[in-house]
Amino acid sequence: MGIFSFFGRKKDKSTQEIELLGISGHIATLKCLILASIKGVSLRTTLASYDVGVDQINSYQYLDSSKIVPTVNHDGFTTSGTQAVLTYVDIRGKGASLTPKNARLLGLQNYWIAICYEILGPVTQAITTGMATDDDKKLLNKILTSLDNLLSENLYVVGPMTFADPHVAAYIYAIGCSGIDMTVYPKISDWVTRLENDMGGPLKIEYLHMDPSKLTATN
Amino acid sequence: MMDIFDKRAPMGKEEHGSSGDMKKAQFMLQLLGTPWDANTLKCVIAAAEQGMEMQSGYLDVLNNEQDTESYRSVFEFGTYPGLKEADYNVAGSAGILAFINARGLGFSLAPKNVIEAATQDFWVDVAVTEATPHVNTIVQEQIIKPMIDSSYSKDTNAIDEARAKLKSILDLLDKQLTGNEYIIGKYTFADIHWTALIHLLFLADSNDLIEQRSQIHRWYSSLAVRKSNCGQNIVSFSLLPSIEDIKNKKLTSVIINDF
Repeated sequence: MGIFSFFGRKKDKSTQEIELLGISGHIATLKCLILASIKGVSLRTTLASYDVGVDQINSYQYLDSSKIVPTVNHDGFTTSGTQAVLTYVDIRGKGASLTPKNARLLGLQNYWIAICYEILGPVTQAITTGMATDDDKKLLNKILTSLDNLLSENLYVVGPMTFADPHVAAYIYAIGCSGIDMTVYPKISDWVTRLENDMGGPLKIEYLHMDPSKLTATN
Repeated sequence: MMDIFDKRAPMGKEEHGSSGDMKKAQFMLQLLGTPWDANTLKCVIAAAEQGMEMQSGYLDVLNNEQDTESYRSVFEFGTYPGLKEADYNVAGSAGILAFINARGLGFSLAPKNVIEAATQDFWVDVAVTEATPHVNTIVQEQIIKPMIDSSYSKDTNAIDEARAKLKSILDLLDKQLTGNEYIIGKYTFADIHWTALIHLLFLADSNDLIEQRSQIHRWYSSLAVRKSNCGQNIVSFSLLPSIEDIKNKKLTSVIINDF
C-alpha cells in the first residue's frame, strides 16, 4: 500500500445497485436522474404513477401517508427528499463532490438552489399546468434572462459545476417541454449542451411525460 | 454611496472584538432579516456557532422593503435574509449558512460521511418543506398580525390546523432524537434549522407541542447552555429573539470578544 493510500477516498465497496423511487414528470425526481447521469451512478429507477398530481414546488412529495418520492434505497440505507438523495448520489458517484470548497461559490450555489425552490418552482408549476399569468411569464423571463447573462460569463451556473446545475437544469427541461421558446436564451442552450456532454448524452425528455391535465399541485 | 446594509446594519466598531490574531483574517458580516423569520434566526445561530462576527439589521418586510430598488439592486429577486461580506452578497438561509460554515472558525457543520450527510439533509428538508409553513402560520396568527393590528382577531382554525399537522412531524423528530444527543448524533445544520423553528413555536404559545415530546424538549433545553461549535465563549441560543425583541423589530448581532 502506497503512502498516499492513507489519504485517499475510501472506495465504495457496496455492490448493490442504488434504487430510486420517483414519479414521472416530477422535477425533483428529474434532478436525481440528472445528477446520477453526471456522476456516472447506475440507478434502478421505479417511477410511480402521478395520478394524485405532481408537486413541482417542494423538494419531495408523499405518494401515500408513508411513502415519499424521491427516495433511494442502497445497501440497507434509505433516505428521501431531493437534497438527501442528491447528497447520497454525489458522494457515491465518480469523481470529486459537486460541493464547492470555496465559501463564496458554496453560498452562490445554495442561493441558486433557493431561487429554484422559491421562484422557479412555483413559476414552472404554473407554466406546466397551463395556469401561468402574465406576471408568471414575466418572472420566468426575468429568471431566464438572469441565467442567460450568468452563463455568458460562466461555464456552469456559478462557475464550476455544482449542485446548482442539476437543480436548475431540471426546471429548464420542464419549461422547454412546455413550449417556452428557449432559443431566445442562447447561453442557456449552450450550457444545456455542455451538461448533456457531461452526462454522456441527452437525458430522455420523454421521461417527463408532460401532460398538463395531470400536472396539478398536490400541496 | 451607502448601500442598504450600511443603512440597516451599520458596523459598530467599538462593540465588536478588535484584537487577536483570528480577527485579522475575518471581515465583518452584515445581515438583513427579521426576528420572526426562521431563516434569519438560522443565520444568527450559524454565525455564533462558527465564531463569525455579524452585525444584524432589520429588513422591513412588513412594508415590502425587500422589493425596494435599494434591496433589489443587491438581490434581484428580493429573497431574504441577505448577507454581505465586503464585496460579496448572498441571500437565503441555505446560501448564508453554507458560506458562514465554510468561512467560520469551527469544524464543519456538514458531515463528510455519506450516511450522516444524507440523513442531515433529510432532516433539513423536513424542517424546510413540512414544518416551516405550519410554524409560519402560527407565528403570523399569534404574533405578527396582532402586532400590526391590535384589533386583529386570530384565526384559531388556521392555528389549530397548523398545530395538528405539526404534531405528526414533531413525533417523527422526537423518535429521531431518541438515543441521539443531537438530531443525527453530532451537531449539524439539521440542529440549526430545527432550533429556529422550535424557538418560534415557544414564542408563539405552542410550547406545549415541545414539552409533550420528551426527546425534543431534552434536546432543546440542552441547546440553551451549549457553547458554540467554534469553541469560543458564546452560546448561540442566547442570541435568539424574545417576544419583546420581535415587537421591537430587533435582531441581535453576533459579537465575539475572545478571539
